[in-house]
Amino acid sequence: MEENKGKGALEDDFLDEDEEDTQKDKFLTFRVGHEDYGIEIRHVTEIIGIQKITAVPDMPEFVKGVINLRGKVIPVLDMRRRFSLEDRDYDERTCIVVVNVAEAAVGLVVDTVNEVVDIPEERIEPAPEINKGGNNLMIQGLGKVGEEVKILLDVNKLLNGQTPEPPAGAEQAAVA
Amino acid sequence: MHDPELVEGFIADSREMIDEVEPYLIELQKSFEAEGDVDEEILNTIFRLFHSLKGAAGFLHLDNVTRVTHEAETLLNHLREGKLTLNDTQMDMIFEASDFIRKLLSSIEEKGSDEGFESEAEEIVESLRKTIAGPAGNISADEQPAASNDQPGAPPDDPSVSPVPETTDEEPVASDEQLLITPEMKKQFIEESDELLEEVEQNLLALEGGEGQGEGLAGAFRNIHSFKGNCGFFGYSELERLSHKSETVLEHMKNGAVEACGENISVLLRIVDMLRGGIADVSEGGQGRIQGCDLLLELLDDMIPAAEEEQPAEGKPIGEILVERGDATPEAVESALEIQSKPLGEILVDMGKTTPKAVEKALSQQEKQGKTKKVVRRDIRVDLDKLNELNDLVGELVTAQAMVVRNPDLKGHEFENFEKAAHHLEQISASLQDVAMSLRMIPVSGLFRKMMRLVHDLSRKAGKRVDLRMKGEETEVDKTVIEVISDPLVHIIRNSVDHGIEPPDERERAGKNPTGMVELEAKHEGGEVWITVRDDGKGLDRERILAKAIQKGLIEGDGKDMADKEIFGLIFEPGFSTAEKVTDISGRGVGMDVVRKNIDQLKGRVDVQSTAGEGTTISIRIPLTLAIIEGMLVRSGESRYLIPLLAIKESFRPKLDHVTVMPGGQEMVRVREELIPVARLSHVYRLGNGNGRLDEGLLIILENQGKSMCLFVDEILGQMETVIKGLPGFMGNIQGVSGCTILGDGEVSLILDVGGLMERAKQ
Repeated sequence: MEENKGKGALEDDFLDEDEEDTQKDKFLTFRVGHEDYGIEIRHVTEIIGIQKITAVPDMPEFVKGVINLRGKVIPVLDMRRRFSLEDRDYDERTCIVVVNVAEAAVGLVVDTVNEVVDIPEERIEPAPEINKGGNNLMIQGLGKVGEEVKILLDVNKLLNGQTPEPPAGAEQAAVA
Repeated sequence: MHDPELVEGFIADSREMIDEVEPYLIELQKSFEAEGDVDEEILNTIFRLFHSLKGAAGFLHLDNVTRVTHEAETLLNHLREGKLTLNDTQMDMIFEASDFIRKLLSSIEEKGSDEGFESEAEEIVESLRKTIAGPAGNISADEQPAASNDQPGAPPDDPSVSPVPETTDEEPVASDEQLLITPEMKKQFIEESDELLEEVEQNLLALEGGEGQGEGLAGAFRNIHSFKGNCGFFGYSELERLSHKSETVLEHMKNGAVEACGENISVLLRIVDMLRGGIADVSEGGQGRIQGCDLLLELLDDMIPAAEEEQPAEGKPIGEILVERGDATPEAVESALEIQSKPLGEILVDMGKTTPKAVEKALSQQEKQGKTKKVVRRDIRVDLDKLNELNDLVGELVTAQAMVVRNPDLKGHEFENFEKAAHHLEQISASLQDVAMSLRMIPVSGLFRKMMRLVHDLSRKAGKRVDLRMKGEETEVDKTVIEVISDPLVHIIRNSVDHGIEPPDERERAGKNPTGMVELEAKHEGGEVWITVRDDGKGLDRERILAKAIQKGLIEGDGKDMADKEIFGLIFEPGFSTAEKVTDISGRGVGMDVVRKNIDQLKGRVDVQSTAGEGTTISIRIPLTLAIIEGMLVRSGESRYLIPLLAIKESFRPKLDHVTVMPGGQEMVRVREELIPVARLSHVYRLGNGNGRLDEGLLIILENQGKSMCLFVDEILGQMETVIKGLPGFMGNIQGVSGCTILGDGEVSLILDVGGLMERAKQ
């Protein structure tokens, strides 16, 4: 397994030989509330600053709306709402992480973006067997980086409209 | 095989030519009927078109196309030279030939060749030949299809001879057998067929109702089988082919390979109707022709699972059949085939009919003709996808430009040169947008021409005389719009001809011209296209529509105080049909709801006006293009929305004493004499808060399908033309939102769908 090359910038990593290989075990980490989360780097296309989001009716509460990403209209999910945390005003550290889910771009609003870290497979614990429903569904595993624990997310499950408390009256958006 | 591009070009060209031929044919027929004389120029044009088609097909060695066009050309040439006088049989033959060529073209498109249609081509060539030889007074005159009986004033064929089917080479004995058929037999056949079809229909309906699965299916199969046998015996080939194919489908249904679902059954029901039409044709002395028989056959083919598709007997190459029947030796067939595969010129030389030099000369002339044609052409064919991409890019360019020119970083600065350059850029991109948009625009003339054929066929079938007039054919509309509007137009015209226009005698009794009139008009009106279908028929019957609507539970109460417009609008409701008898053309109650559906899809509207005894006018208003929308940008709370201009009637600042608040909190506002419900956008969409006082904002009166609603907004930001974008796929269909657009500052704004919004507001 590859050594933890440290927190090299994204660009440096991309210069390496095989993309598939270099992206292996790499996670983009970010903070939402009090916890750190990670998403496999191969899903991430870019990180942009927060911008005005246009609300769309009939969406689950965590779907904030849509934004214009260079002429493409993409949906944006608020991760705080996704994890049923309290809302917080967006500030200059709030970012939108654009990920690719099933060939479609989706923006994720997070409190701050941290860094890209290597988490080898053997450092990843499977999602806990407890409380398997609800939020735990979108958890791919728990990654141990030094003393810290990053919650690794399965992006494909993020869009599934299963929140602990579905917003009343709103239709559930489901991924086909 | 030839260069695929060459073949593709040939197909496109040929289709155009055939499309061109049809209206000319109809014109020719009209001029003939009106003046008893043939317009030579039109005849020459038709001749030329067939000739070019033949030339191109010959070059590509498409033998079937060549043979049929050649024979059609000969027929036309005879007409041109006055050796023959035009009659209906000949017209029908030419129509049939052009339909057949269309079919061949589809086959060429799919498989790259026109093989497999030899026997059918032979059949058509043979009947063309007979038509040509027809009036010469020899034996073949007796063998002429009896269709000329339709023609009033034409010398009646010997009744004991008719009906005589088009005999083909495959059945050399058939014509002798046919002579034994007496009028009594024919009458019996018609009666029996009617009964059989009636039973088939009952069987199918029972099947659809889910009762007696096996029994209904078996019954339908049995009956259609007997029907097919009868048709075969009498030699009505179209009826036989169609019923044969239906039988195949039913067989597959029996063994479960084809699902006996409602959809399939309704296709079969339609086929039964078409068969009935064929029988009706027979009873009128025709040959049991079926409108669009080939299309129907294809439709049925589609139902049959590909792997199990059986090769119909008539699909066999004629040579094989000849050999099987012992009418020819394999060697003879082979050598004939060899000759067949040669270009026409070579064959002629071989036969000693001409010299190689003469052929060469003719070929070079042919080539020249092709060349001159190319010079005249000032268009190129472009893949629609490329055009769409171009349009998308231009849309993004316009947005990007706005983002540059109105960049917030520029605020508070004065850049004189920048302003100038920016202005220039804006002008260019506006022109670019216009041009890109115009690329997708095509004139409605092609669509209208299709209707000529439709009216021609329908009126003949219904025994009515209808004159189709067209106005504004040069009006250009987005290609997608043309595609979506085609079906509704067909249904509307069908209804006009079938139900609107009265039979000639009835018209005469009413003091009208016995020839009915259907007028098709297209014109630009603002950012919209208006397409109007007007007929001078008997008009819609308010009382009958009302009675039907009440019976179907479409309206409550007796509808006495409903406006005519509202009542006439009911004909577009699904399942609505007042036709007393179901004809093969219309009357099953499907059709007009397609009109509403497709027009809604285009964000257009349809209005009906009708005066009893004087006629009906149906007008369709649709936006010029689907890619761009003209709208009013409004603000509600923090959000901005775009409302299609088409739906806006007016806007005003309300006075509070014109507002009535009902017990549930619903606000109603009085506008002149009307009371209109008020909807708040924030409320309807459950987004943000928008509980401002009505007199602090504006009310916009929206209209959709004759219903009005007031929308409360905080502010009107202006009118704009903008590119429509879809919402991300996973968001699905949102009621009341038709899409979104990117505003000048890069933000996304939702586009309201007024129809959906009104539905939402009801809940």
